[in-house]
Amino acid sequence: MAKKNPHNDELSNKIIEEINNQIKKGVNINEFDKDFSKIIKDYIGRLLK
Amino acid sequence: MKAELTLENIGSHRGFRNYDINSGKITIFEGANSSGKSTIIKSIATILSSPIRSKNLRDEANMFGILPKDERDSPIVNIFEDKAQISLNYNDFDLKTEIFKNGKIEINFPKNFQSNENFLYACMLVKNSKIQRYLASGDDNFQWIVSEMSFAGKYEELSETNNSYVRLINAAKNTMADINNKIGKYIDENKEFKAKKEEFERDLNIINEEKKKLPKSDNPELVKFENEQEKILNEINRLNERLESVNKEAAEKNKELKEKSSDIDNLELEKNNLIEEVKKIEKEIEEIKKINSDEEYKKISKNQKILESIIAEQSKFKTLRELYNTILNSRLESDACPLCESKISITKDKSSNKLKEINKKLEEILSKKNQIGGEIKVSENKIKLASSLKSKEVQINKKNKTISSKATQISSKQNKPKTIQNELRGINKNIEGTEKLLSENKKKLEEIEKRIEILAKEDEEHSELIQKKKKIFEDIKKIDINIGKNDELIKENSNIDLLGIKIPIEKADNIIDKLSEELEKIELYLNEKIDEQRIGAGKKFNETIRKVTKDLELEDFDDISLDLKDYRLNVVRKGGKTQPLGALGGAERGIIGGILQVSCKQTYLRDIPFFVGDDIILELDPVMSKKFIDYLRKLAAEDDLYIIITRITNNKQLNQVEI
Repeated sequence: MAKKNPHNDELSNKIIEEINNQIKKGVNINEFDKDFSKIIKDYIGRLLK
Repeated sequence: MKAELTLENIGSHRGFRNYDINSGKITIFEGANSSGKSTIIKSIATILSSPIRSKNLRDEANMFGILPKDERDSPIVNIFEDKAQISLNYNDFDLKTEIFKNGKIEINFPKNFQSNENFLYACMLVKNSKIQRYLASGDDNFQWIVSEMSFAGKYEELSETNNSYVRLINAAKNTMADINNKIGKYIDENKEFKAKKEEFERDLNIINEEKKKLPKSDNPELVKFENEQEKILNEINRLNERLESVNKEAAEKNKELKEKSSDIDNLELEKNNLIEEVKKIEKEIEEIKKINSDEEYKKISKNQKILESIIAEQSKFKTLRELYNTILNSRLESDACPLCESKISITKDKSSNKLKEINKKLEEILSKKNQIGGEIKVSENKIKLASSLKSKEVQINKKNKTISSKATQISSKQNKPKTIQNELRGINKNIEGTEKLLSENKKKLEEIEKRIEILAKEDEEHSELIQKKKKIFEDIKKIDINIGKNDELIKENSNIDLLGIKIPIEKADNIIDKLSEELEKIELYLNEKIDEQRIGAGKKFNETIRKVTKDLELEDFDDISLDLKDYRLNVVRKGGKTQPLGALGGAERGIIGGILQVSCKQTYLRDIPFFVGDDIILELDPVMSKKFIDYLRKLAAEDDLYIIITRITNNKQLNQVEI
């Protein structure tokens, strides 16, 4: 079965979504950094599988 | 309209002070030094800019004496008190802040009020405002205005976080390069060691051939052991070759097993995700079935009637509020109601109290209106949900079919891994057996060689060759140890750590490249947004500067504006010549500062109807000062602003005038 690659552009899209949320509700850098770190780690985890 | 400012324990005063400030005019607080003028300016700035979150603006607040520096006491709380309070009531907003000695500020604002920390940049025409500082120092780079007054500054903050991860990934790339170099070195070294080992093994063969040519020793025991030694060496070679071959076979089977298992794992994951989705939809269907659409329609109808009557009541009280506002502002002292012919006693106090009651009632009505509106919305949503029942049932059927197909695929694929595992078990048993035999043979060889050494001491020629062989065995052993060490080092460097995740070296390059690519896309997006915000903010700012300059009828300048490429301030004299800031006179810088400050407020902070200034305006030459004051009066009247400025006089008592 051909495997789909769900990783294309996923990281940048998710981070950009997070950026837009921060702008909407008021920037909290600590929260953004935490979310950024989590998204990157999830992305690396999926690439390792 | 009127604003009421109440200060408690602020500055050098203990207790309360109240000030009424009218919109549409300029209010001047005048008095000698330390009469409390600046305290009023600072108090208004404190309440309208709190809470201050940005580090840059906290620095501004330190400088204005609103927030304490380092660990010191608050600069606006009276030194004999632990806390102070500022209240500002204007345009139906009732704002309160408590300021504690340690500098902490607690705010109590209505939900529909939005303060703005940029008040400190935009609404304060004071000597040490950021705009004034830049003009005084001749620094014409005003990029900070368009960044901080628009979302560009926010995007810049977020960009810094992205950049920190870019730096991390770049560091990982460098680490990868180091690791690859190290591993390359170890692999090259091992190649050399193996080549050397082969050389030694060739030498060993030569010695064995030489030994064969020698006449047989007289010692039959020595001959017997040497023959045994040869047999065992051959056996060891054979076992080594077999071991290499089965290890290779095991590696291939393991790879195949991993691939097959991974396929099955993916199918299981997809199947489980689908099962979860089906459960979720089933739950939704359960909820939908509980909805009674007819009942909800009835509820909507009933609530809509209630809403109509609430709106009517609201309108009635709003009209009453207008009437009492008119009475309050009417300046009439008579006790007859000016709006009707009734001879009822109307005093300003009574009107003010009545107004407070009406405002309270309106708040209650609004709350009820929002509640009923919310109930209508809930009913509408339930009806919408109920109509989606059929489509959800179709969804479930589809997903169940897919689950079934995945289960079939899993089932069909499960046999192969089992077969491979059985084969692997056989191979591993083979490896174990071979290693055991190898170990036994090596032990035997060691014992035989000890015996040979002892026996051969008597036989000189044999002894020499045996010594040579012994040396070669020792050298081979050393090489094996070095190869083993390098293999360990290669294993230790087989992973790279990134954000606490161990990434195998063979995958690291690819992952790091993908991360770099994604982070670059994010950087591009942020840079685009920053430019877009800056340019937009810059254009609006320039439009306002030009309007203010025109309204002020300044004859000496053709244009004052920000360059939209580098955001430097361009001051173009009459006749078209651009003048550097440093070449402007103090008074000219003063007027340009005033223009920029007002433009900043009018462009970026239109929703806060306050503008404050100290006697900086009145320090301009008399003609320019009058022009600017007239302009501010006109602005106050047109936009219904509260403009408060201070003026220094000899009078120790603080005085308040309106112009």
